[in-house]
Amino acid sequence: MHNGFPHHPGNHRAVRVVAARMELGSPSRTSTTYEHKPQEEDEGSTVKNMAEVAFSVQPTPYKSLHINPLQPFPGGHQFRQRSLSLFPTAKLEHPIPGHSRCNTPPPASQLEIANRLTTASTILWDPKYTTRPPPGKLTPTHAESLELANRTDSSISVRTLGGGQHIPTMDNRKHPSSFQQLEKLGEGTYATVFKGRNRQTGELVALKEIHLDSEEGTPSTAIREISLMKELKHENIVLLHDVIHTENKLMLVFEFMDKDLKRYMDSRGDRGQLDPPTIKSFMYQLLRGIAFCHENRVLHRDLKPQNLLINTKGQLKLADFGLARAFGIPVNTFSNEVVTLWYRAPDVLLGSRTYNTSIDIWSAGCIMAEMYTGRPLFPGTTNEDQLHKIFRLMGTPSERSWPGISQLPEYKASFHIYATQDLRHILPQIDQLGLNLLNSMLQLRPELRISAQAALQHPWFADLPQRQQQHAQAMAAAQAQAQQAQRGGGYSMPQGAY
Amino acid sequence: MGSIVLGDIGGHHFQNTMFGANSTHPPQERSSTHHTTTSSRPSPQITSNPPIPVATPGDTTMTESEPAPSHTATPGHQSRQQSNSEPSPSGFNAAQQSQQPPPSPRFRPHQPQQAPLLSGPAPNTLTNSRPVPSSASSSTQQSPISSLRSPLDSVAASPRRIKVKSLSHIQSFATDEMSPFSQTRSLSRRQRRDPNDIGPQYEISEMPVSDIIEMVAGLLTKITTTNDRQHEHLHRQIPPPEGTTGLSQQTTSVLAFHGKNVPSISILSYLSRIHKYCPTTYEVFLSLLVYFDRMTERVNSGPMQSLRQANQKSFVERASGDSDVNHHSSTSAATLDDNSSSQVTTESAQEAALGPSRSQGKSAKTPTGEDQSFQEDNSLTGSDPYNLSHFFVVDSFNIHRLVIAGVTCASKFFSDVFYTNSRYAKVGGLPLVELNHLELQFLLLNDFRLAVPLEEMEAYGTMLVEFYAREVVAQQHTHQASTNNRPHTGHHVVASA
Repeated sequence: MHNGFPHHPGNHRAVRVVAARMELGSPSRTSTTYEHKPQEEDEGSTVKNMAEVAFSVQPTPYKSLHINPLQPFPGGHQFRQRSLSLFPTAKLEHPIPGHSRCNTPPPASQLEIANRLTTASTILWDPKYTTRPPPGKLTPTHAESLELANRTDSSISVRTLGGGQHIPTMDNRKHPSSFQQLEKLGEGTYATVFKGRNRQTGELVALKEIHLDSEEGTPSTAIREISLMKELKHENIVLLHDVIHTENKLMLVFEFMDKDLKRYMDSRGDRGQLDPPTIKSFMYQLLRGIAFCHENRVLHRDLKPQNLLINTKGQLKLADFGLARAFGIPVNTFSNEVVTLWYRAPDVLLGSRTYNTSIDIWSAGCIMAEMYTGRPLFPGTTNEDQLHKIFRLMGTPSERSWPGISQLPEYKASFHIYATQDLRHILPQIDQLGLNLLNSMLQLRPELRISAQAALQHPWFADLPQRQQQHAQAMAAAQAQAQQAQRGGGYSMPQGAY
Repeated sequence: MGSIVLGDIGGHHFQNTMFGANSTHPPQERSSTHHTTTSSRPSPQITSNPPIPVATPGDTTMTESEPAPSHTATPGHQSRQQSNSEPSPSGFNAAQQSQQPPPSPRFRPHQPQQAPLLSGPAPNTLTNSRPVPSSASSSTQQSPISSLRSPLDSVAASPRRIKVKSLSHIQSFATDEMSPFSQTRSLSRRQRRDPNDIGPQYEISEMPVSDIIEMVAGLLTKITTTNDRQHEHLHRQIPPPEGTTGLSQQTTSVLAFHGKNVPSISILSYLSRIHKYCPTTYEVFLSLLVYFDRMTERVNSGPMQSLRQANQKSFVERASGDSDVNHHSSTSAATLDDNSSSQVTTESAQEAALGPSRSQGKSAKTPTGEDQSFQEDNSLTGSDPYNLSHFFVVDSFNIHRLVIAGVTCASKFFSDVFYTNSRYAKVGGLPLVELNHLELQFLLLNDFRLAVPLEEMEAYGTMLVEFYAREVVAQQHTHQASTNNRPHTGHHVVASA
């Protein structure tokens, strides 16, 4: 068990070999003084009766790291900093090339060896057996902006989007100290958000710090948020500039937005109520963001005023994709513990796990009503109370109005039967077209709920200047794209993600 | 200690075999994502047919006569709604306004360790919802076999989709000479029929996950076996703890997965073990292939490119002859400028011919063309850019760590049901701290992009089925060389093992 690196004779040899071959001559290499405590007691306490599977001594740097989960070994701190160097000092693919004295075979044979190596796609798309083209390579993150050599890990993709506009990127200063941390903006479900300033450009950013818990590892919320937001670049989705990782935390660098919709409403006077033109503009932007997610097969699953961010230009952007999820072939692994209670769709409340894009539309409907009144539409306290509040306003559904409802896990025949109310009673300011749109978003039956794309075409938005503008832009973009496609230089967004 | 140690999760009934045939109980059911929603009402009510509710006018208005996404709101409709309205519900009292909005729900990893080890599957678990196709399933009309039999006149634009039910299903059509699959085996034959026919699309989402695991393991085993043959040529040097400064973050990440020894557990057993204790959906296992390919591409494409260029150059050089080097020295010297100061001596005859000035190795830019050509030759052949030890190569030395780290990441991305890293670490047989580290390296090597476009996922599924079928056929050719081609009837019963 005791395999402290410098004490293991085999490892000593390894070091000498390395040094001889690469002549790095770094004195620190040979003066390693790590002392590893025997791990028996610790291992024994965590996993008893283990069968050991000859993976034995492994002279990786991490060997020393992973030995003792509970007891940091001496010098561990130092070591960690270096070996995990978050921000590699040298971008050399190969250390100190010329100093090598190894008798590396000439490139021809190296190439031969390399060509003999195989991958899944090499085997699967073996031209001997198939004429199918191999799947398109994932567009390199820096396809358009950086040379291969300058590629850095975990920085953000640069994409030209359907709209034809170029997404601004930040420089790849990856050190946390590149950002001056200003005041705390909020405490999220799994992260703390700070206002920050890029020290180089002075640009304001939002810094979302995610603590890496050792039991849990990297939180799933972080993995989803980063993975999905890297693919979703849209002007109504908050822009993820960069991901900075350190040993025990991840820092996501977002574009700075002034307020969330909740605080915007609170600050806008009139008891949180917004004026109709603002509501229409926000709803249009909200639906555009949702439509983009859905087109790319992503469910947001946590739309609420707190997760919609507003900037000084009056732009609204979707944020917080921690509960989001890609959907593909329907499999029944969806949780019904999604969406903040007040904005949760009735089908989800009734226990459905086969919900789809329509759950985001329900939330959007709730948000629309809330912008008119300044108050949440269905402020339930529990699952049951939430359903009760919904039914009292929208009417209690039945097998007749919603075939199949009685099969849902949380359905009760004993639901109190309410008649449908007219929403205009609680939203006196709403116009008829707006009411019609709202009603089609707040359909109890998920299949009847309007889609985001269809909602954007709703006549309520006809007089919206933004829509006319965007219409023109879209036309221009489509033209530009067609031209680009003809030149063969274009690439398109993935048609969807899992 | 750097070894993958597999122990029984519960630690209760563990013998020395890590996959004791009798410890088949999943440590926990997968239903805990809805723990808070279960209510105490008697269950019969769920299934009992509710009395058909008397629909109030309002009831039907909302859900039935309201036109679905209509673009034209008629005033008449609005007024009709108004007419049957009752006094506004009381849900909007000012009393409720001060309420703080409830927090977003949060997925928590399961803590199955705390659950009784032998708990059976609870209602509502995934296991219930996934139909397990029995291998003895009769040849129903939906069976892909029948669609496989359909004439091959479909157009390439709309490839046929075939739902694959199980491995035996693949085996049955793999051996069926009449199936289009057998034509995929022989490309020329198919192309003679219709060059545009690229074969059907195989839909594997309904296969049991264990079957998909078997296919994935088959492919991964083939990859590692192939790549292991090059292992000694790769000269992977696992850097000592202090020595990572010279290595890029990427190389460090790559080497993190590399073990000195090969774990004795097979890839199939390892994957099966993971699925047994951390059950998840098939995408998690299928996506491993996608991620490994992406990591390979990301890490190796640059070095491969320079390797090819170098190869080409040395080829050109050899072709142009040693006598006349001047005409190409300018171009190549420019590209290799960086290396010129650090030229490498080789044991080649050229070196011997060179004399003492050479051995100093620092006289980088000698003005003569001859010198330059020599220099570049050296840097081409000897310097580290062509050192394969920095390549990302999936082989037996890293596959286990890649798999456990990949499953950990992919489960969190794809599924609402996942587990703590400490569980994944125990199941994977490595220390938690190492798994946490590997998880981060895996994310970094994938640039934190775990989303897999649907089309890509489907393409991998289809090709995996074809691969598996090829292997089946290959096996049958070797194993059953004596048993001559029996008539293929196309029944599903070919392999009921």
